Amino acid sequence: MKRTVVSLSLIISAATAQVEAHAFLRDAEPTVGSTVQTSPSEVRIRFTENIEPAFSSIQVFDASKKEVDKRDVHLDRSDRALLHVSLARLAAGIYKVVWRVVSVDTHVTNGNFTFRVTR
Amino acid sequence: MLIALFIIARTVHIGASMLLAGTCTFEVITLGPAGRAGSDDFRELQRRLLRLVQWSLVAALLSALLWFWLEVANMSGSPPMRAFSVAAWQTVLFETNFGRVWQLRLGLIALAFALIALGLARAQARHALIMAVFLISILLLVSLAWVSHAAAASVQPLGLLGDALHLCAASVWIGGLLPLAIFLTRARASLSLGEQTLPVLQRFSTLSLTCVGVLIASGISNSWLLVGSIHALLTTRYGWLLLAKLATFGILVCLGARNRFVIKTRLTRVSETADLLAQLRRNVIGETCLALAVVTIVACLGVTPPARGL
Repeated sequence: MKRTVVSLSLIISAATAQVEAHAFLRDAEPTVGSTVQTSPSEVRIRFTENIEPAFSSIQVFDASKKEVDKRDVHLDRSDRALLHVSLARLAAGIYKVVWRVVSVDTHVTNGNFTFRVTR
Repeated sequence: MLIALFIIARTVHIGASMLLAGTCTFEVITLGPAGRAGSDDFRELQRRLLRLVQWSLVAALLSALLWFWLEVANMSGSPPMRAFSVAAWQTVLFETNFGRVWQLRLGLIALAFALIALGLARAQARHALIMAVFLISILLLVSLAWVSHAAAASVQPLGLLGDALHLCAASVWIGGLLPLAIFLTRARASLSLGEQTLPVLQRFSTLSLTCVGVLIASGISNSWLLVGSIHALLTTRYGWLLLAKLATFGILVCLGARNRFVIKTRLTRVSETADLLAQLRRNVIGETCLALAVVTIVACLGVTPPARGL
């Protein structure tokens, strides 16, 4: 019995040492680190797993950390792994996209990337 | 801390669901016609099995509530102590896949409690009651697949089907170990139960062998979907946990094979029966401890990203 308790403790410690999240960014539009010539009308991110829209978000910030998206994050009608958020017209500059999603198997991931608008 | 609580909640909830299904299967299939025999010893055994069903349901309910609370904190990003704002738990319960599955699971647990309360009041309805709880326990197992990694697997419905079959086969086998230990304990002291020991053990052994076959087939399918390669199996945390599970499963199969050999070759000799029953009971208790280790590893796998996604 003692050995079983020790084994179970070791298993739990091994699993809790570092638990990573599950829905990863597969591709985005504008693409990660890209430069676009004109202001995009929206940011789209496709993830590696289907996601829960109720707890998933995408925010877009300009260089002064002002939020420039329209706060209308929504799931694509035909692809439950694809999130959209609309953008106001963007001036030239660097923009930071911050995302946080919950996958259907309930795991949370977050990340960020930037893109540049030239005019 | 949150992850450790998640592993505890998952271990207890999956374990309780498996024990519930294993106990019901033991009574419906393994005991067979003997389960409907009317001796006092059988009635006492049935009382003990019903108590096990009740405690499994209590454990399943409490761990479901703990798991739900942790999911509210996890999904909303709130500290656990502040996670129970009405808006957060309502959103999880009504607007997520997990919440919809939890509505079903909590409803099934409540229905099982109601049926047991009804059955306790009307003893003649016991067989129908156990059949109904048996069906509920299978639904509880199958619905677990909808909140597992399989739900997010790219190949559907193969992922969900493989996971549901894996859970059912594991429950019928290792969920039946504790009821079997209770039966063996009672059989040593009871003439009427003792007469039924050999057929009961043979049925359990045959059922276990079938379950091992289903576990291997569904395990290979699930591993292919969630791991994908030998390299991922050997180099990721998910792969290592899966190897630990496979090793423990291998030991369980060897112990089961040894028990099957003992039953086939020695239990037919009456002179050795008492000693053999004691030995079998010890083996079964040892297997139950290993089964608990397997369930804990399964809980750890549930909070670890599948190797294929890395």
